[in-house]
Amino acid sequence: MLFSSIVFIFCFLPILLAVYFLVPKKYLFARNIVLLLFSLVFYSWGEPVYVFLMIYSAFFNYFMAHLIAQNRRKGGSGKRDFLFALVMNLFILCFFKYFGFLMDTVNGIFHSHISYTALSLPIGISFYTFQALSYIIDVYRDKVKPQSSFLNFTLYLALFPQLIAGPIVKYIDIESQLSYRETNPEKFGQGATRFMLGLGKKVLLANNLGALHQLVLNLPDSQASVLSFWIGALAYTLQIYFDFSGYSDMAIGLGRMFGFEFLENFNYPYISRSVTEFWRRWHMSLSGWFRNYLYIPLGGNRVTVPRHILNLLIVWALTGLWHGASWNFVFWGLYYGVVLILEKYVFGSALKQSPAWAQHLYAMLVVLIGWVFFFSSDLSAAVHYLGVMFGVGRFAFANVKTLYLLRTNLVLLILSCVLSGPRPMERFRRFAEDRRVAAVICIFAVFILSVAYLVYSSYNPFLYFRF
Amino acid sequence: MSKVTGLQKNIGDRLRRLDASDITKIVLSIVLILFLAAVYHRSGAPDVPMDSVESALRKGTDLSSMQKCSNRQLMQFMGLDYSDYDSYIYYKSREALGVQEVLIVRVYRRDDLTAVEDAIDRRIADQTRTFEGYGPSQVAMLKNAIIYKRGNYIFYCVDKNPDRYEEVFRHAL
Repeated sequence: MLFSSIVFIFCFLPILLAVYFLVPKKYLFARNIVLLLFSLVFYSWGEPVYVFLMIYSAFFNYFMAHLIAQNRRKGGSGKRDFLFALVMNLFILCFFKYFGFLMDTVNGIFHSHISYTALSLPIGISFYTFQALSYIIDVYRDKVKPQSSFLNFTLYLALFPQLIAGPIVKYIDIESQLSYRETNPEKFGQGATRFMLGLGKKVLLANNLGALHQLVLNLPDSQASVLSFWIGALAYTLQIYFDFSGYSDMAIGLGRMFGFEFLENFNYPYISRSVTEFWRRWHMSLSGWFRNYLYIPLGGNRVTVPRHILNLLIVWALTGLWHGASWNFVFWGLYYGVVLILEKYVFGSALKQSPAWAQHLYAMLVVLIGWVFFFSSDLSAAVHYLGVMFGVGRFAFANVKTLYLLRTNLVLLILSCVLSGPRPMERFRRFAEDRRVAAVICIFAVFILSVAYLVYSSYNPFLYFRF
Repeated sequence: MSKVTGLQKNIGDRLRRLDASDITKIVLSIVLILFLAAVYHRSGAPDVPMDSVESALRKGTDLSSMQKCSNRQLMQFMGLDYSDYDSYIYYKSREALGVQEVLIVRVYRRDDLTAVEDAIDRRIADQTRTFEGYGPSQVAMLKNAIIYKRGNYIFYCVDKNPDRYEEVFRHAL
């Protein structure tokens, strides 16, 4: 089930809210049971069989964490159990996500034809596996105590707002909220507002930008032009931001409605003046996860320069691979790894001394080119797309189709660019402080427009199926 | 002989030393392997030639109102190049205002299913835009379109009764 679907907005959510808030506040245990049951229904909506995998993962990690802690209490290190838990979690993730990729790579290298059945990816498996790993690693490091309640731990893994598209919530950040959290009308209102604005980002902006991007991708060579391809890449750049950050807003908003406080996942990444800054602002829960559980254990930057470079390349290759089981994702990750190494050791200081607009232009250019690798089906498609963008081949700079694309989408592109920065939201907050009723009307207008658009349009892509 | 006895004794000692947590870990590992094996078996599709699938569709459904489409029409209507895929069958309504169609594509690599699914999504969106406003029955059919993936096959159907086509397809595999 998607947040941006009529079934979720008008059936699932109202029923859940009614049942949840009918349970008195003091019975948090019962409220948690309600949330867990509904989360499992939410998860099993599309592919019921994988809900068993989720429950298995919850039980396995719950059990292993207690085993590690028990071992430590007896004077051991718990290392064997920790490694066992780590291997099993990664095995499950790799089996579903990377088995087909591995077989294709083997077949490609050895020109063999080993037949296999690639499995459909359980939605959100990368997110909840990383959450489970954060728990196991923190228990092993003695940063958190194992959760005594199996119900609470399963709820942590399966909690529907962040289940299928993040943010990746670390157990340490939510531990106390599982056994105590405050719900009140103010928090509920803030959460609902955040949800409605997130829905607007996803449905009104991202879906339309996605349609524009698809239109450019489908252009036959006879209608392609340099400028059209730049428009397509820009549309995707904005689409993925509004899609992903919109989904994160909805997740954070829904969490708040039920009393949870999730950490932010995006902080206006497109205002960045360097790629380093971009990754401090983009998908922060994922970069934080890799920093805490991989980069720092590898030695971080407190190592020799060659080792630091190797660490960065390992982390970024794996970041790319996390996003999808394909070589272009690995390349996309390494591309960022190399750019970050260059910023750190080659031109970072020169970049800081250049004018602000030049820094921003550089960062956006690197990011935009990066998205081409991300949205392309394979490396050759990415190279072809970039080739057209940079004038390789006999493509006109612009043509009638370009003018049509601009005429019909210029407002959307400009509006999206403006809304990707912090100023509109800051102004809206100031406006809302002075004129509350008008602000509420605006938010409901966004919501009603989004719903109308959902009913009217059949184009509602889901970008996270491969994560 | 003594080596074998020693090995047996060693294994026996280890088995005796297993505690409840070790046994639970072994059980959990077995459960996982069984589950993954079941999922793998369920997700796979046997290697059924497209001719057999087509013949099952002809027998089990009414394709008389549709015509079989060529490679060129596959590109024209679905935006798919037949040479990128292992095999396909594509039937489309004979009437200009008909939206009924059945498409089954067998891909070489499972990754390619995404591209076909995207093409199907675009087709549904385009058709919906075309018929919106004056063709409510067509739009209703498009909204009930079925997309189903199994193994290296993807099935797509727009019809008043798409479930029937899907059922026949499932049985054909």
